[in-house]
Amino acid sequence: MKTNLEYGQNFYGRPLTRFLFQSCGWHIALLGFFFVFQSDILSFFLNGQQDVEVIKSAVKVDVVAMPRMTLKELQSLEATKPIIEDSKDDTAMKEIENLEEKSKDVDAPKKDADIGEQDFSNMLKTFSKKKVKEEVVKKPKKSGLDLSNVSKKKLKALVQAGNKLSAGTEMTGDQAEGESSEFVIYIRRIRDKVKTYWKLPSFLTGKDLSCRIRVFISQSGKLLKTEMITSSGNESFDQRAKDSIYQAYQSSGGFAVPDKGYASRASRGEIVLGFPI
Amino acid sequence: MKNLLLCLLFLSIGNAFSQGGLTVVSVGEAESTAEKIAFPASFTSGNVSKNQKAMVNEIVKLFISDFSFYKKSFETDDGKSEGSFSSPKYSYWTSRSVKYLVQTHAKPSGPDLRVTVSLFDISKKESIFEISKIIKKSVVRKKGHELADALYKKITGADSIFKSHIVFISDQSGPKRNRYKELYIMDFDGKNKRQLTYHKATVLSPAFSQDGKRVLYSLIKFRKGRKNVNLRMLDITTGKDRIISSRRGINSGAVFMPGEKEILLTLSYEGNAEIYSLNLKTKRLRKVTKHFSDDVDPSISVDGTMMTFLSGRPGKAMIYTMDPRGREKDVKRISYVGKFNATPRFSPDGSEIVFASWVDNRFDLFRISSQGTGLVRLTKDFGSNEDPTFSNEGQFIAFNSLRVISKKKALQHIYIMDRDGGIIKDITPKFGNCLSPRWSK
Repeated sequence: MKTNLEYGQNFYGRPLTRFLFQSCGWHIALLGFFFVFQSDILSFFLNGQQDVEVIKSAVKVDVVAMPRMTLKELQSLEATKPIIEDSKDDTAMKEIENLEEKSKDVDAPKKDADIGEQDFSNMLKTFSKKKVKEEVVKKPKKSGLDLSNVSKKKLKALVQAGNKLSAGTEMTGDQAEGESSEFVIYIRRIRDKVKTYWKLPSFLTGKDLSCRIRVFISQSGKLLKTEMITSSGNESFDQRAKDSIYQAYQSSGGFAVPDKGYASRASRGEIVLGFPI
Repeated sequence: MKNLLLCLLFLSIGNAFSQGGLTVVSVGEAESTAEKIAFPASFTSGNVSKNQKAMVNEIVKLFISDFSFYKKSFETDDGKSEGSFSSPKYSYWTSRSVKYLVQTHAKPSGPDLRVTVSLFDISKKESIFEISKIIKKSVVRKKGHELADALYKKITGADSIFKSHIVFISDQSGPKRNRYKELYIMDFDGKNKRQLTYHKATVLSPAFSQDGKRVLYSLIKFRKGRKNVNLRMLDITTGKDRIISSRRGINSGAVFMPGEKEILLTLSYEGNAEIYSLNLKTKRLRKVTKHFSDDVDPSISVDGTMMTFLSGRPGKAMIYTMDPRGREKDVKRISYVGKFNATPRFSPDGSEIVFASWVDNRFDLFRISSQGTGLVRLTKDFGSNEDPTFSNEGQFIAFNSLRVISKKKALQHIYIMDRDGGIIKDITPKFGNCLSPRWSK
């Protein structure tokens, strides 16, 4: 029987050395691929294991007792919790910003460790925060708070509170979330005033309604006009959103006078309020 | 890789907002508030008699009572009229923070009364709706509820509970030591109670038809010394009452299927209780559940594609859902907790189930999504609460609550609460022990 197998040849008649080279190439490529994407590959497998655990814990939830507290009790608990809101006071807002700036070395790694698994919003937050840091270098240093007496724990809590302020509820045209230009701070002050009057009866809540209103403010802080740019499709909802702007304007004796730097932007109607987003 | 993707996503969002050079700031979720709606005393013209004046006063009072059920949306305000019927004094109502004003006008129309109701939006300073009806004395409340419903619909764009009814069982009649449990009907607010059956026996688990004209109910009868639970159907408009099913054992817990040609009911003539579908015309019976455990108490979603029921499959009474168009089709266990559960009832849109569960030696009410998620407790420290039923528009739940007064005395009344457990009121005070409320669709 004739055999084609000779030294240096495989079954297909190719030289064995060529085969070895190809094999080595493939192995190196695979190894390289693993090194480049090792974190993704590992996290994929780890997450896979965690998923299994999550399913287990989901099954455990089924056999717990009936809830002891009523829905109303839970709601009242929620209502009595101290709500950390965006400060209405401009100086307080600046203080928090300064805290973030001063504590940037402490803040970022610790927060990541606290959060553990990064979700989409956290990643966005991290992303936007990076931009803030870049901005800080350019900005003239503000006279911040004296942090020598603030404990690390307190500082961390404050920073976390600060992060809650920017939980992805704002979208600004030229700036990433977390950036606080004077114009943005000014809009936030308008927003805070409007928010006080932004109220809805229950027949208009829970319907996923949303509208956006453009606000034109003169250089003297006078409300020139409003313009509905995105309607919710529900006239009552839109009207109440509009009313809240006018009520905020009338009851507070007008809006704050915009600085010269951005007065033209305010009068051109570059301010858009989203109800609720 | 993830970061790259996020960068692209973020940049795409950023571009969308920088195109117009606008800065969008979120105001956030609105605070919940109840808006003021005022119902001042009525205006009259022509020769209005004392009785007719009383009629229109009753209508205004009824408006206030009806709207006060929607506490989360409206704060009712009464008082004297300011300005004229068609030109109210807006400044006065603005100073009282009133959002809506309902002005009523009455003038005689023969023996009857022509009532005109005008709804004003105070912030817009204009009338946004007007409706007129000729009302006879015998139907004052019915017509009043219809007017209130029209006002509510104009403001909210949704249906109200004002035209709905509730059937229930009460031991109001019979000798003191052996009270009969008969079927009654009332308006949603507990007024206008009427007795529907006179069996001098015990009536069980009623159910409204979709159009509210017929009621299915069971009756405990003793025949030849043997107790049997028969299913009957009563036509409320004609008073015609007939037996639907009288098989041996239980013929109970029946509900109408959409279209009202078929009903779902629990039968036990084969041994253990199973749920069947019965065609009212052909009398054809079809088994819907088939299990060695008891399956009882069906409730059907509005489109008829989902049924919730109580089953002893896990060893204790738990809530299940399934597709009633087949046999044992898509059976899914919904509740896993509670010593045992009872009376699961669908919300009108079929998205939620309210049920009673035995906790701390009494029943309390809970709400869960029809997918088995979002379990919340609705009642606590409020007696023993059973037999819930969603209102026609899903914003309220009626249920019976048992209060132990002494070792020998306990009172069972029907209450209404909002869907989050906020108690509105007792709607059957001084009407004996009342149970098994069922809200019309």
